[in-house]
Amino acid sequence: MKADRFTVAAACGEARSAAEFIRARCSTAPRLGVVLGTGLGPLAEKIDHAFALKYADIPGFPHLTAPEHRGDLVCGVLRGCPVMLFRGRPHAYEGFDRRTLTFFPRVLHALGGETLILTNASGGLNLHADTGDVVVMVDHIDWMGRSRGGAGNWRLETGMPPFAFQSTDFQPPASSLHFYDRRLIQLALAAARRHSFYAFPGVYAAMTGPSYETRAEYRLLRRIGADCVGMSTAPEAKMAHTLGLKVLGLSTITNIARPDAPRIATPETTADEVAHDAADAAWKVMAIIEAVAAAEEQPGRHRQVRTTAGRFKALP
Amino acid sequence: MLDLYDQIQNAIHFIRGKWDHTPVAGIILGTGLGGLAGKIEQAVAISYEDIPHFPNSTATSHAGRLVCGMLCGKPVMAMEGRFHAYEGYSMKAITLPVRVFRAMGASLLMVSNACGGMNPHHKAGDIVVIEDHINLMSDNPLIGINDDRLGPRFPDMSEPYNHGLIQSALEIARRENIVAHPGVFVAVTGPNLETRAEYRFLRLIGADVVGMSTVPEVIVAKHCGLKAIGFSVITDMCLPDALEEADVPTIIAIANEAQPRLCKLVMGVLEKYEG
Repeated sequence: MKADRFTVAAACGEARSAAEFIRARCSTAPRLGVVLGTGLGPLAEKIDHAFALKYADIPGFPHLTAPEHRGDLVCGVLRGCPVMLFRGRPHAYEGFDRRTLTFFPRVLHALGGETLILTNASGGLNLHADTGDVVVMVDHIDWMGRSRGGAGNWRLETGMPPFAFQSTDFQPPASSLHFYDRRLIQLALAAARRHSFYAFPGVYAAMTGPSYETRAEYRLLRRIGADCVGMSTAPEAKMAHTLGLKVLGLSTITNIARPDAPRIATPETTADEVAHDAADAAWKVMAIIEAVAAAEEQPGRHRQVRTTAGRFKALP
Repeated sequence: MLDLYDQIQNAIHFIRGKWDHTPVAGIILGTGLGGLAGKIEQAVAISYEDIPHFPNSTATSHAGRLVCGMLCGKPVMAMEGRFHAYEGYSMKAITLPVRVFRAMGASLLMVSNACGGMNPHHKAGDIVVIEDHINLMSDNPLIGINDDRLGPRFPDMSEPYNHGLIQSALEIARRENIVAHPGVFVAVTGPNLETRAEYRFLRLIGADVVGMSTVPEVIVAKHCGLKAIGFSVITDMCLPDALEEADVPTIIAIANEAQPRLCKLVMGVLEKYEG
């Protein structure tokens, strides 16, 4: 995926050919897509009629390098709802550009999916947060900085033409005020209460990484209003929202940033710990995903959603 | 991206051909601070352009050579002139020398730079011992496929600058009657200096000094397991509500004037260092 010019035709074309490949192998079209972040890979084992495809075999899919990211696509049924799990995702710190970072939402859209759940592991900045808590993302701060390639941001992130060249198929989103679906946020928080674990609505700061943040950077992020910080999700959420998918972001807090703690008490952050803590809290994320799948499955809701959020025609 | 390892091997093979010692420390000398290289004994100077894969330094008042020899009785490698992001180099190229220091056997990285002071309690000519940093360069030298031979995928940054060495530097400063403060350094790309609004912003987010270097090198030092210490010479005060126009000759004059004090600190820390 290293074409020089990022044209609409090329962007749609690459997602469409991946979608064709998947459609030829999975019998049911997914209604719900889930991107599984660090430590959440085993969730795929809870899927009925599961069928896995390796990313390497699907045309256009990125070749992943991050640890704890397996790189396969699992299609199946969860609580009666046809789902597609992206087990492993591309990250900016691996050197992928925005176009690759936003590939999964485009594939889900091309397959006719309606809802995308994005999960990740993050560092907690909110003073009330604890390891293992789930942040239901109400918003994000995209601090991933560099848009490599030089063309307009809008184009790079969305694969859409600038406003002046809109075709009838593509309209820009009405606003970016609600990247994350209000109803799904409430549904997620309700599921957490029902299963008796702590989840709270919060703002996710997306950094490039791969080095973890310094104390000074944690203080900065806290001051500008972030509740947790990680290295993914924001580009995917923007793209999904642009395509008219409903988006839910779930962030598992795997370590607590304590920039002002006495030096001696601050343990270092290690990737192993992050993966371990994320796996420990995986059941919570799974409970929310199941609740969303169960809600998606209701046919009445399905139709209602189409009319309110389906700004885009699914590509033929 | 995995060819970085081979580039490092090529570079150290070449350097070992000219200077076959195991350095204790690698030193990066910033704007106007190149004079420390003159204190290195039995020095072997190698021009950057001769070293395989090294970029050429283009910045003003940077000489562009690697000086290897003895300082305080310890073998060191000093970069007289460094590479900056604003010169258009990639982060990988900027930080290659740090990886070369490590591969040559060094365990300590000492970095210096000239910076703008934003803390109103500081003065031009003061030295800031960098206690922590904020990366606003919107880039990171570790982006790309990680080579596990060089370091971990996700390096921790809870202590990018070695706490013991910071204390040791501040102690030497008190003893030598040098004004030195611990402080937070924020790195921006540059090359233009900041606007008033940007200075206000940088101060607001918790930075004491601002510069256009050092952070990429320190991130890589942490990645490859080098202890790091950083010194910033405040060459002009950037107080947004009383901002004076920056004057490059004055900045360089202040850096030159601070040079003996900085040399004392660097040599003092190196002398006490047991690594």
